[in-house]
Amino acid sequence: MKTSRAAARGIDAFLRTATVGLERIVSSERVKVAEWGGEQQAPGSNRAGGSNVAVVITLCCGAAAAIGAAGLLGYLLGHRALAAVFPGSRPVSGITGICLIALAVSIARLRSSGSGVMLSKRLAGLVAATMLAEIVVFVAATQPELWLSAEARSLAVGLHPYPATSLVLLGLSLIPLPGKARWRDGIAHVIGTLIIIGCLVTMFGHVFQVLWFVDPRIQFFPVLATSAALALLSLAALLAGPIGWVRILVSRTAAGAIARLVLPATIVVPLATAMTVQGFHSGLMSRAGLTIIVGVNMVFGAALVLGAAAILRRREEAQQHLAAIVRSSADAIYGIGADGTILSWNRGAETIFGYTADEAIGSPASMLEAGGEPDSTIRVRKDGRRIEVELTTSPIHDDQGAVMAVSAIARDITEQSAAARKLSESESRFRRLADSNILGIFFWDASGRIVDANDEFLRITGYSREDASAGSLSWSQMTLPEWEAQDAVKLRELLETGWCAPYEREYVRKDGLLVPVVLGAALYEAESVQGIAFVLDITDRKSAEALQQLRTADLQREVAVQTAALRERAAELETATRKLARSNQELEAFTYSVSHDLRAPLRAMDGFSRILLEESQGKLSATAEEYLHRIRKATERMSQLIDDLLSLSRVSRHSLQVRETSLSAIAAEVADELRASDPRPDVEFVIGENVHAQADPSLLRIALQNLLGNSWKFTSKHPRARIEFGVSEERDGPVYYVRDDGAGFDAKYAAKLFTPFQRLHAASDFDGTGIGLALVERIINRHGGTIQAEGSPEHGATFRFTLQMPSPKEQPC
Amino acid sequence: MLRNKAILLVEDNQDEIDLALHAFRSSNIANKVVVKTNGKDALDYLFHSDDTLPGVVLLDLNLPKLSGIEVLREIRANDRTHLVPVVVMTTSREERDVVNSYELHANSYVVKPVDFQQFTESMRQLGVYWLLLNEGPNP
Repeated sequence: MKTSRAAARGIDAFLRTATVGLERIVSSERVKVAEWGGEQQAPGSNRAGGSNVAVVITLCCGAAAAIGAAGLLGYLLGHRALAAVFPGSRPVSGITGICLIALAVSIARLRSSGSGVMLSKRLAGLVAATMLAEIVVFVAATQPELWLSAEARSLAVGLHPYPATSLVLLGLSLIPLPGKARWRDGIAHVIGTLIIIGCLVTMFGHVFQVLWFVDPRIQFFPVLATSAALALLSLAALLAGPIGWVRILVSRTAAGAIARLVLPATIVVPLATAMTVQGFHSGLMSRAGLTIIVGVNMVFGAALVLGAAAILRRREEAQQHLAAIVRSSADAIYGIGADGTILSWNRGAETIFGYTADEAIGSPASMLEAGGEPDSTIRVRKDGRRIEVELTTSPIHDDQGAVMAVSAIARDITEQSAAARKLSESESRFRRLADSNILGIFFWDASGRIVDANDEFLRITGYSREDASAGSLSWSQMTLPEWEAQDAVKLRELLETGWCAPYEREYVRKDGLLVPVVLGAALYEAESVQGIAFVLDITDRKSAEALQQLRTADLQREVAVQTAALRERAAELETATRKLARSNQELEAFTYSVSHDLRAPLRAMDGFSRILLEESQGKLSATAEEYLHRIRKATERMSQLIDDLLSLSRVSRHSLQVRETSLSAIAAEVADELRASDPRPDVEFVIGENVHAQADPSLLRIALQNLLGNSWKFTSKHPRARIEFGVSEERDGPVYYVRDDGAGFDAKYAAKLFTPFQRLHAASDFDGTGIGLALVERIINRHGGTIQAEGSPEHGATFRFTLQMPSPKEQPC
Repeated sequence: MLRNKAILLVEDNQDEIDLALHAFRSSNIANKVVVKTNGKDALDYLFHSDDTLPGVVLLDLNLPKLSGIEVLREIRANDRTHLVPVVVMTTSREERDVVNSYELHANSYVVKPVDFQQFTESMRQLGVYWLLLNEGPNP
């Protein structure tokens, strides 16, 4: 094979050189790709390896051209044996030799592209024209009706009709005739096949010395060399198509392989057998030789059959293997016919789309489509679920290169796609964060260098994008020595936990200024030392803090001033309180000493006046006695005044003990006391029932003693009297009253009633110190109430008072 | 034999003393009346006198040197005198004095009336009660 290829290359080179020379002669035109060349590029062709075919074509053409050349040379040199090529055969004529060379070149160039194709067709046309001319000359020479010169006659000598016709037809078949390529191929196919058959017959005729073929007088069939060359050229032409049965021969299919294997044998075996039989008959071979040859033939035939079977089996296995791959593939692999129906359906397709093979095959493939965009990779399963697929479709061509079906490979990428989408979303979110430049973000590699950073980081640190890409951003350059200790702590935290909590620090900007930031970092993975960090510029916050500190300082000063003022006030207040406490103490001491020391002298005055009266009975004048009595009277009154003053003071100092108090009961007791002290049956007490109040009972007793006592006193001049105590419910709460029909008072002095020691009646009419109502008012006031007096002379008096102590349930808890 | 027991009058005001003695006399109370004009003398008499203890001590609160309340505390703190009946006799009606006196186990608290007639009457009643009716502790 190697040798043959080398030979083919040599011949091809020769032919190419010859072609180039001829090309220059024939035409300098550049032409376009012709149909044969174009067809050769048809996709999906299942022809055997082009190089093998090309080798065969080149060898065939080369052999034919060699025969032609030998014939031409022999003719020119007058060397008969050279012109005959095969010993014992007749010579090839010179013109036939030229035509063979031209056709060989033409066919060899068929497979080339561009101008070579056009050249080959022109050469073929030249051959056809030459041969046609020769036939015409020959016919003219052989017809007696036509007159021809002796020179012309000699030219026609040696023309054989079959090879001449063959050359014309072969040449014509290679010329691009008008009409459909299919038709042209069909004609070329028939011509080539007929020429081959004819040539084989001629060769067999020569082999078996059939008279028709070997007798020089019968010049129908070509000489042996010419027929061999014609057969080779026809084969080469068919192969160059390839067209007709040759296409099977060169196909990659098992059929092609078997044909290639068996076809030569079908020619060689009968030929060999026939030659053997002939040899046996002519006595050249013994019976044993015949037997051996036949046996060898049989074995050869059997080997061919087995070889063919082996080829078929290999193919079948390969196909089964392929089928198994398709069948067991997790991807859906299915075929779609030209009419859009599903032709095949593998297990993966069943899984992915949910249809069984029985359901799917024969159904329209469009049932898988989701509608909408035609290029969509969304498909619909049998259960209606939509899935996303990765789809690969490829056309399946028939021998003619037409698309007869489409194979589809679909992979369910719904989950991957969702994952990819999520990843892409998260990436785009992160990208958004980085691009938004809210935060400075940078990435560092294993060596600790900052390898990438966003614009905000560059803005914060004052570096340019060029600095960053040049790798000149360095951590240590941006760090003051005082931060190194903290950085070390944070780095340890980062390496131990994979991230470090944000902390405040300062960067040294490119321009040398310091910028306060919050920095946080995280490693990509736990084991890695690469990571991402964010940086937040807190310059504004820091200035705000500084401002705040200034404000705070101001505020603190203000507070200090205020505090000092307050302290002063507190000191003043304390002094005042102390003064008040002292004056209270003094007051107490005063009242104490009043109660002790002011009364003792009175007793002495009264006592000694009395003793004097007793012991000087009858010795004193009536006037003197009267004076002593007056001293005693004054003493008594003084004593009463002191008592009242003290009780007023006591009421003021007394601590209130408020509780639910029955005023009715107190009033009744006071009334009883009054009646007991001075029985006056003509006085009627009317005391309201169930009069209650939240009050201090001991103080209320004093108040009622005074009020009822007043009424008792001021009704003493009336023959009958009515004294009332009760309560009336007014809008603002209960109003208590004490009413009598006694002496009353002049209303214009009502306000003066409650002033201590203020009296509206002469002491001679009604005794009293004038302290009682002052006492009552103080008691009422201490309960949070008020008291009012109404009255007119001789029409009685009414005292109304309230006790507005908040009831316990109204007090806040 | 309370009838023979003395009355110890602790009073600094001579007027008061005279009036009291007059009142006892006019009330026919013949018991010996020992008068001490300050607290110290009164305690000296009670603690160191060879006399038998008085049947009743009439104690004024407003005294020079030792106040009446302090005298009362000393009397109650002393083994010899802690059971002696003490009647606080004063012009004061102060709550504070009343409470203090009773806390120190005064046997009575009497406010001396300004009116001499009433004063004489209260002296008579005190004498009758403490020297005749009341049974004191054995000396």
